[in-house]
Amino acid sequence: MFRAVMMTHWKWSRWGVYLLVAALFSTPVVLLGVLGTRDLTLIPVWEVLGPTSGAGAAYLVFSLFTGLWLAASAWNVDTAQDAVYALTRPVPRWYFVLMRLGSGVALSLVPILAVLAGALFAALVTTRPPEMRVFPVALTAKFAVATWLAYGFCFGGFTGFRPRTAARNVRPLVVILSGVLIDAATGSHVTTVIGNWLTGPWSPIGVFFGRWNLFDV
Amino acid sequence: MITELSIELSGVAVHYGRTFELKDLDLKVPAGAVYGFLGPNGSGKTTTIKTLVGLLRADRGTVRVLGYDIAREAPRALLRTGYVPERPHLYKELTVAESLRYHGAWYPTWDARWADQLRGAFGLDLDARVGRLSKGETGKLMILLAIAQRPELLVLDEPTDGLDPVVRRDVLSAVLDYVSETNATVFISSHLIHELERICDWVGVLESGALVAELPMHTFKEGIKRLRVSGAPAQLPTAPFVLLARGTGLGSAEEWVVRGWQPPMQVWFEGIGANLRDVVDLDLEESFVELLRTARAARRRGVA
Repeated sequence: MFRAVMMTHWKWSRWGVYLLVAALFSTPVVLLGVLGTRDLTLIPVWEVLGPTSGAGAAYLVFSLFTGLWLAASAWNVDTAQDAVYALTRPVPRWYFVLMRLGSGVALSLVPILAVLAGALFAALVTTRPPEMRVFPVALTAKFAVATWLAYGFCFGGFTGFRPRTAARNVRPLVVILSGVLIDAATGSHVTTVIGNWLTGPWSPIGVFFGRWNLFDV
Repeated sequence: MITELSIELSGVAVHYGRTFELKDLDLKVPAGAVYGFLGPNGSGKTTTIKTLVGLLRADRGTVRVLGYDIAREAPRALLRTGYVPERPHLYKELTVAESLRYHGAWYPTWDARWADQLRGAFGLDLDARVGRLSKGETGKLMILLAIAQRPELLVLDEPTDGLDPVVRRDVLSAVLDYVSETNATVFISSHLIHELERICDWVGVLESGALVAELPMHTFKEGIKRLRVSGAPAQLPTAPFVLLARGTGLGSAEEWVVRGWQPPMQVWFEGIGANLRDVVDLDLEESFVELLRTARAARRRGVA
């Protein structure tokens, strides 16, 4: 059953996945093109770090897009057909949802491996000054965690296209927005404190806010 | 699990939007029956079927399919049920071959060899995308998928609606072949009355979310008659049959539509001083129309 679910998910998402693989593998190649040399000892460190940060931002955007794309492709066909086929499968609904969730996680390994391949390629072909290190595995791990988090959020959201579940999913957003508005109106700094925690290293979504550099010092 | 009834609905009410689609619906489908579910558009046939397969939840009452309570054990019932919805529900991006693989993966009873034989008989191209199939081909594919899983119960919601006569015959033949081989139960809704007349041995008639008749097809076909009567008093004593309608006919005769008619009942007319001139058989469509007319009149009287 899981293979069948994955087959359909692959069929619906494959063109986006192909594009992501191409983009993710070529990101470090483009970075090297911008730097103009594979021998990074020839240019000042700060001239390497600037474009590398730009490439890091691209990885962040790609991770969000990968999660969004896989989540959307998990549900959009069923949503368009009132989920009649999905809801009449002879398994408990939670199990079907779990298989769909799992198929997206499995498919996300393809772009994640593209990140690893591109980063390892860049690590192998460059010569770096002693103070500069390269992080292909850490970058890939960061990309994977960010992708799965984005996928999880979007997957939950896309199950909510039916009015009842949409209302349930929108409720926490309304609570958050109300909190922000009350905070702004009363002049307290609760939002700032929460914002600092959310962007900090211990936040569940902190992975989106750290450094995403392939080359760093 | 051996059950006398393949489908049993007791006091089922389903609220859909702001109105009640089904109101205290009781329905019993014997195991092994080919049950025709008749009703005009908007009578609640599709709502009933969606409730049967767990797509809608009953607000009240119990729904049992193959012995399983659908509210708690829908997956077990669905494992043994082939379902063809009113509108195509298959994934359009998949090819026919992929659809067969995908559907078959859910059912341990899936018969891949038979599915391939049926595909060949239906002339379906393995590489054709489902979204590019014609309406007739899509109908055939849905029936193929439903019966190749070898279900004990087939639930078909207007499976031949909009199909040309040749495709319709192919689809129904495939269903009947399967039934004759396996003695599976079929629950089929349609507004094509003559189509059901040919294949069903039980019939249920739904009107405004309530069942107005549920009986064996032969009783339905033979039990409803049009009588031509003259000299009957305006106020009738209790009759041994059910008088569905009474109106003026040709000349001085009245036309009565009755249910439960038996030839010995003609002596009753002598007893009330009336003359029974003729007994006319109604075909299924006429019987259906008379049943609906009676049900609507009764409802109007109830509202008034």
